[in-house]
Amino acid sequence: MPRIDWLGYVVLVAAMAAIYINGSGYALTIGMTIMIWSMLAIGLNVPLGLTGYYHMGIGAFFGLGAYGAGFMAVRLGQPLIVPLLVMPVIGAVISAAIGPIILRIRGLHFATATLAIGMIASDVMNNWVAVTGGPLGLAGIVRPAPMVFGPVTIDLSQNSGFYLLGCALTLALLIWFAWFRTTAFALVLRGIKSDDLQTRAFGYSTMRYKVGAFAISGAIAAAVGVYYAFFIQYISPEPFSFAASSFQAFVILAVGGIGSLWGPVLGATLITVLPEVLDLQPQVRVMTYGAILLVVIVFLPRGLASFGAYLRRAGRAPAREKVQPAPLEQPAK
Amino acid sequence: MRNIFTLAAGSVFVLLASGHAHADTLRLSDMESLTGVASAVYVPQANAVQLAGEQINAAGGVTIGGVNYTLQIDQYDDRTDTSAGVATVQKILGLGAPSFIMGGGTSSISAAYSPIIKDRTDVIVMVTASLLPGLTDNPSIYRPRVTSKQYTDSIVSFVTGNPEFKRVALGVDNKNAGLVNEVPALKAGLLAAGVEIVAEEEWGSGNPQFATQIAAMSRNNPDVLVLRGYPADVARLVKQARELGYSGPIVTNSGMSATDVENAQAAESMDGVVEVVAPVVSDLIAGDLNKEAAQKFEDAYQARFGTPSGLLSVSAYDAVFILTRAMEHAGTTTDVPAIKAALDVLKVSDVPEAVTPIKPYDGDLLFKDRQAQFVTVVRQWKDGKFVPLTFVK
Repeated sequence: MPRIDWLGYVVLVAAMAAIYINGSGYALTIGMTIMIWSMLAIGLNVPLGLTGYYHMGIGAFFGLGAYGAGFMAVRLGQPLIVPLLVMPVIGAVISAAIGPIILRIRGLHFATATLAIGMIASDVMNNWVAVTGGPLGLAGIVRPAPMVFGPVTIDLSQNSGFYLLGCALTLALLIWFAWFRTTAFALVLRGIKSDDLQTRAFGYSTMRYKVGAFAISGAIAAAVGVYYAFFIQYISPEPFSFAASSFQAFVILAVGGIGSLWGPVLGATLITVLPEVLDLQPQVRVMTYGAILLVVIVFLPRGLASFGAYLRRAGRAPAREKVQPAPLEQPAK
Repeated sequence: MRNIFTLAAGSVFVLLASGHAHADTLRLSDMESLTGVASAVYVPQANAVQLAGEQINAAGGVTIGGVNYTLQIDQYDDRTDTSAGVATVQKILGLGAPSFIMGGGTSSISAAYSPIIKDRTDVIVMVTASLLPGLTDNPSIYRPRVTSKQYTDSIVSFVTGNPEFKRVALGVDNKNAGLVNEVPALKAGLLAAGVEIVAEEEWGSGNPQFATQIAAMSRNNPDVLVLRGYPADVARLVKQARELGYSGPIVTNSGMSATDVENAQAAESMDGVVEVVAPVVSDLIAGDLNKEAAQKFEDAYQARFGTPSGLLSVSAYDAVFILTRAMEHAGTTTDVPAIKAALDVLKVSDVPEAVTPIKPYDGDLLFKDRQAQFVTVVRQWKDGKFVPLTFVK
């Protein structure tokens, strides 16, 4: 029976509720942005955090989901639920098709290969004008009409309703990831991260597991893309470029804690909220933002999620000093 | 303890006093890409908005409905990021109605926040940068700024008016949504006049190398290269085209300034290059169009910020005067529908402070369907600077 970190969930739900009760468009927008980055980072955590593969092309699958949603909504008139069900499957299938080819390599070579996937996707978004709208993008993505659940009505066309959908998706994904980390599948992924050859020596077909992790990541990223498309209601290629999505998701994970459960949420919160609260001159703000990230990475190399452990270690340090034998008396001068 | 009470009482007094001081303050929110890839273009725009506010305040503020207001320009940075832009607009809207937003961000950002404000009757956005077509279909958006369509018409007119240009090679920044959207219209205009398009190339903003595009364009022996994109990219492109041996005519549509050319170290390659664009201040001064106002603006800008004004500076500067003048006519700072109605019937002659050469619609109207139109300039690089050849009025 895995240990459940109730405190973390309570704090998260309380924070979500506080934003909802605040109700301002700004707070809800920031909340939705945090949730989008959290979910994308969780998607990246499967190949990177658990398996040790530096997936630098997750933005391609994020964009795939967003453009799929945009195309279905604008050109085919499909409601949100259709791309939300279809695009993760497409993301997983494409990942599973590419995976066996590029997962033969690892380290920097794998990172470069996934970078190339992102570049190809970016080119497609810019140039397949009939489907993507090219650099102009796709406008006119309309959010769903209000949904009635007995006495409760959730109006997804409004920010407040759409925020609730984001909360539900984020919590579901977080709970799924907490469970997934304890499965035998994830154990094999950790084995691959530690020593691929040895894991194979134990009789596991590591390629299948790696492709599985890659496909899960693709599915999650595509689902997040669908949510993003309906959140922002307009999509263009820039938000899915390497710098704007894949690298950003990587930074979030690095700051939050690679492989950890809460790292994606903590990293996404810091990265999203910090520029908003730093009320400084723009150029000074960018430098301050960078400096804060640097401090976090240097002093918490395992990310914000390790902050509790860091405090516990710091708390134990004086206790150890107390039990150390007293120094010998110095001879009188 | 007494000190704490004194401090608390003092704080309350300061808060109350500051609240009272802002009672007759008209707040304009200026949303700009102050950081990120587009900051080089948007910082001078933000400066110009600031300058307009300071000048209006120095002249005694603005009197609306019998009340004298001091302008307060609050700058917001959208970080050239779509999500951040949407969050910024939400933040501004959250400050309380009504909201008056200057600048309005890049094409992508303006398209992203457009649905949020479409049905609101408590917000006006004065877009002075985004060239995105269809933006002013949104009843909350006014654009006192040239559109990419006006640019296209001017380029077609210039190219087809030159009998030597029968074979054209086109190059366009594929990340500039406003320009990409105009490619079909540009091609149609040229083809209709019997001009052959021998090559079509594109690049992404910030691209440092253009050898592939230049080779593809020049190997088809065009009579002229037509290049459309951001100033820094186009300056680099011209330089590299000359270095790679292309010596024919080049027509650009970018808004390049002498500083852009200098930064790209392209001055020696620029001789003879023709630029078709909305005139910047230096064009107005050199071409003697609104010269006095342009010189006054440029002197004030350089005195305040220590650098020459930018591509979008004057549009943004004018927008502040246009909006406040509409408020004066409407007699209100809170009744947004009334202010919109005043904008709809505002005349070019109502805004004598405007530096940009606005081309009036019928009845001297400044806006038609919330879009203004402008005189464009055909200018040529000669002896280290752009010299206006003619204004397309």
